[in-house]
Amino acid sequence: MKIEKFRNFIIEQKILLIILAIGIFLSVSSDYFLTFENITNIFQTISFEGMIVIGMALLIIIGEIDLSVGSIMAFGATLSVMFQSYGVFTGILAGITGGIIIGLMNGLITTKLKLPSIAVTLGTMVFLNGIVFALTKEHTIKGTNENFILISQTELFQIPLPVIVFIILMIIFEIILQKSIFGRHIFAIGGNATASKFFGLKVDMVRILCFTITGFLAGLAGVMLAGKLNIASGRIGGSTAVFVITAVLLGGISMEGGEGSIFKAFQGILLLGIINNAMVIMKISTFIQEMIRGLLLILIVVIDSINIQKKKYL
Amino acid sequence: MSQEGNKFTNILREQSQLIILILLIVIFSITTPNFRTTGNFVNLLKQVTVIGVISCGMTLVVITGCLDLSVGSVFSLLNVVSISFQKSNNFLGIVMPLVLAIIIGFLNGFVITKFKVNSIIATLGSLSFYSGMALLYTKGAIIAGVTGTWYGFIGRSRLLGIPIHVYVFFIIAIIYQILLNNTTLGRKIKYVGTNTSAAEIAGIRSNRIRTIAFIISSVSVAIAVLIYSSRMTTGSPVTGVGFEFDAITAVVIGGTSLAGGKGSIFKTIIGVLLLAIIINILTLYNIPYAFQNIVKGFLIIIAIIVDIRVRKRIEN
Repeated sequence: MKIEKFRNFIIEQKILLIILAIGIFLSVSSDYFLTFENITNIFQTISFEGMIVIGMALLIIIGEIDLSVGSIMAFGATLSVMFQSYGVFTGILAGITGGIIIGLMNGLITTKLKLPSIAVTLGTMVFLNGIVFALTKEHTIKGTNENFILISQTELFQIPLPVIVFIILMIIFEIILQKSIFGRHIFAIGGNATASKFFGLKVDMVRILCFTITGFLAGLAGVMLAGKLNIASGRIGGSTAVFVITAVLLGGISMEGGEGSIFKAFQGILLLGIINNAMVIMKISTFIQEMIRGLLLILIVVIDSINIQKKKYL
Repeated sequence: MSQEGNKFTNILREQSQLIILILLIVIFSITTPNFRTTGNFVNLLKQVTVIGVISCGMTLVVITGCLDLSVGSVFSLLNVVSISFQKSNNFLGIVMPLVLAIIIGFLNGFVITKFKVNSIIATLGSLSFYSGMALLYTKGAIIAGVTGTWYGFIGRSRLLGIPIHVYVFFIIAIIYQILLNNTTLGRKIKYVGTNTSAAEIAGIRSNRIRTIAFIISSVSVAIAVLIYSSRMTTGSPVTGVGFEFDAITAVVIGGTSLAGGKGSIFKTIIGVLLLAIIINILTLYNIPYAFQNIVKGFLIIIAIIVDIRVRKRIEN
C-alpha cells in the first residue's frame, strides 16, 4: 500500500524529481551553479519565454496551439522600441496592444473560419515576421528613451523585474485556471468540445480569449525583452515556438488537451532553463545546444504520444 | 445547355490557379516592360528550380496528410556536406547528400508514423536539430568548393539557351506526376491521405507509405541541393532558412489540400510559378525584401481559407 503511494508520488512529480536530481548533480560538479547570481540568472533567462509558456499551456489544455508566439514577441518588442519616444508607458502599451490584436486575430480566424490553429498560426508566423522585418527595415533598431531599460533592469530585493512579473502572472493565471468559471470552461472544452457546446458553453468565445491572452503575454514578453538592451529586430523569437511548446509538454501537459496546470508548465520551463544553464556552464557550443533542443522536442512528443495511446487502450 | 454551363464553371473552379497564373502573366506583361523580356522569364525559371524540386517532394507528404517543416534546415545541412566532400571528390559530393537524405527522411517518417506524433511538431524538432547540425558541421562558417569541375555541370551549363537545371526540374516534376497518378504507390499515397483507417482496413500499410513520402521529400531536398551547390559551389549552414515556408506556400496556393488525399504535382508547379511571379513583380518594383514574407504569410492564410471553403462545398 505504502509502496503504491510512493510509486504514484514519483510518477506524479517526476519532473520535480528530475529537476532536483540535475540540480544536485550540477551543484556537486560546479561551484558556480548553486550561487544566488546563477539561480537569478536562470530565472531571468526563462522569465521572458516563461510568460508565453503560461498562454501556450492554456491553449494546449483547450486543444489548440500557437506557432506564431515568437513572431508576436518580436512584433511587441519592435512596437515598444518604436513608440517609446512618446514615453515609456506608450511604448509598453504599444507592444502589449500589438500582441493582443494579433492574438485576437489568430483566435477569430481559427474559430470563425473553423481552421486548424496549427496551420493558421504557421501563416501568422511568416506574415508577422515579414511585418517586423519591414518595420525595422531589416536592421536592429535601437530605442531612444533611456528610461525604457528600467522595465527590465529594475531590481526588487535583487530580483529583476521580469522575474517578478513572470511569477506574479503565473500565480494569477493558475488561480484563474483552477478556481474561475473561465478556467473550468477551458478544461471542459479541452476534454470534449462537442459536449461542451451541447451544454451551452461559449466554446468559440473561450478559445478566442485563450488566443488573445497568449498574444497579450507574448507581446508583454517582447516588451520586457526589448527593455533588456533597448533593441529589437526581426531575428528575435526564431526558436521561441520550439522552446515554449517543449516546455509545456515537458511539464507533463498532454497534446490531447483537457488536463494540466500552470505549475506543471512552470516545471517544464524550469527544467529547460536548468538544462540550458548546464549546457552553458559546461561550455557546450550553441550549435549543439540547438540540436539538443530539437531532439528534446521530438523526444517529449514521442513520450506524450505513447502515453496517449496507452490511455486509449486501457 | 445548362449542363454545359456547369461543366464550364467546373473547369473554371478546378483550374482557378492556372487561370490566375495566366491572368497575372498577361497583366504584368502589359503593365511592366521589364517583366515581358525573355531574359526575365529565363531568370524566373532559373530561380524556381530549387524551391520547385523541394515543393514537388513536399506535395507527396502533404497528400498523405502530413507536413515536413525540416526541409529548410536539411537543405542547409546537405549543402555544406555536399561541398565539403566535393572538395576532395566530386562523386562523393553527389552521393553523400543523397544517402544522408534517405536516412533523414526515414527518421522523420519513422518517428511520426511509429509513435503517431503530429508531423508539424516533430519536424519542428528536426528543423532545430539539423539546423544546429549544419552550423556545427562548418562551425558557422561558409565553405567554398572547387570550381571548374564537372560538379558544376547541372548548375552552369545551358542547352538551347536554357539552363540544364530547368530541364532537371521539369523531368523530376514529370516523374513525380507519373508516380502519383499512374503507379500503385501513388494511389496508396492518396488513399492514406483521404482516409487512413479505411486504407489500413483495405490492407495498405499506411505507416510505410507515409515514411516513403518523407523519404521522397528529403531526397527531393538533396536533388535541390545538388542543383544549388553545383551553381554556387559554396556551402553555407544557413542557406535553407525559410525554404520550408516557400515550399508549403507553393504547394498550398497551387491547390493541394492540407487535409490530405488530394493534389497533384501539376498544381504545385503552378503554385511555384505563381509565387515566383508575385515575388518577381515585387522585386521589379523595388519593393523591399521584407514585404515578401508578408505576402507569403498572407498567401498561406488565403489559400488555407479557400481550401476549406472548397472542401465544404464539395461535402454539401
